[in-house]
Amino acid sequence: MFPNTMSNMILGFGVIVGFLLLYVLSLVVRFRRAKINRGISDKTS
Amino acid sequence: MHKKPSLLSILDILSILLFTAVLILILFFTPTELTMGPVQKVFYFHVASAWGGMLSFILAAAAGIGYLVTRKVRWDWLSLSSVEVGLVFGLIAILSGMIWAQPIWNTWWVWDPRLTTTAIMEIIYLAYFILRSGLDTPETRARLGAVYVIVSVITVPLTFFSIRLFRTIHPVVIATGGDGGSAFNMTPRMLLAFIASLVVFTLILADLVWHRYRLAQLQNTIEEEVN
Repeated sequence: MFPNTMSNMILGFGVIVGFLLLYVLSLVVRFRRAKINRGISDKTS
Repeated sequence: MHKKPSLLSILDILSILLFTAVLILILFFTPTELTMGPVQKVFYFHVASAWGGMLSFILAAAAGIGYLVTRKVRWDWLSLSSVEVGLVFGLIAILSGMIWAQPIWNTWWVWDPRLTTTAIMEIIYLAYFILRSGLDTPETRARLGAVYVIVSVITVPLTFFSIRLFRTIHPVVIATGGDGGSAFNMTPRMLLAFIASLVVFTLILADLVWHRYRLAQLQNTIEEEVN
């Protein structure tokens, strides 16, 4: 019988995926802000 | 700003697809470890993110050397990008390790040599951004930043070998003949998931560093236009 550590596993994967998504989001936001600062509307990036 | 390279778009898609595939492989096709239960499955991404973080810091040091030799600003962008992504990967490794440790060691944190050296490594690389933010001229920022990442890379082997150099409760994953007794005995499917995780996190690392590099490039263009 396995020890019941299912909730810890879900939390672990949640944190891993969550932090990766958060970082991707931060890159998107900073890209947009930089483009606005530069005054261009390059939709290709 | 240059058009987004098609290779980067391919890398984006490949990273997402392979990450999902490996996650499914881990959740549904790897056996559940007998003594730890389902939480052991976090180990695959925990090790892969730690690997990604260390690889990123080594890349930053190599880029630092590249800058000092050539004085080309693109090496500074690469160094900055690698440190930032490495910090994210390192933070993921620490947090996922804490979540694993809670039911297994019955504590979130212990001042074990591996955990301590990892925390020191993260703090040292975090200080890199404090150093950079305190310097006004881009040349000084790049030069001192390069020296800093070259010196800081010593924390990578120190962290990696800490479980072999000191007495520790942290499991040894990559074992040699000498420390094989404390290593995991992985089944073929576990080994497949482990190697696949290392590959997919290396791809994600390359993808994120590339995106961050392009952001640094754009920010540099803005800085030049303003000055």
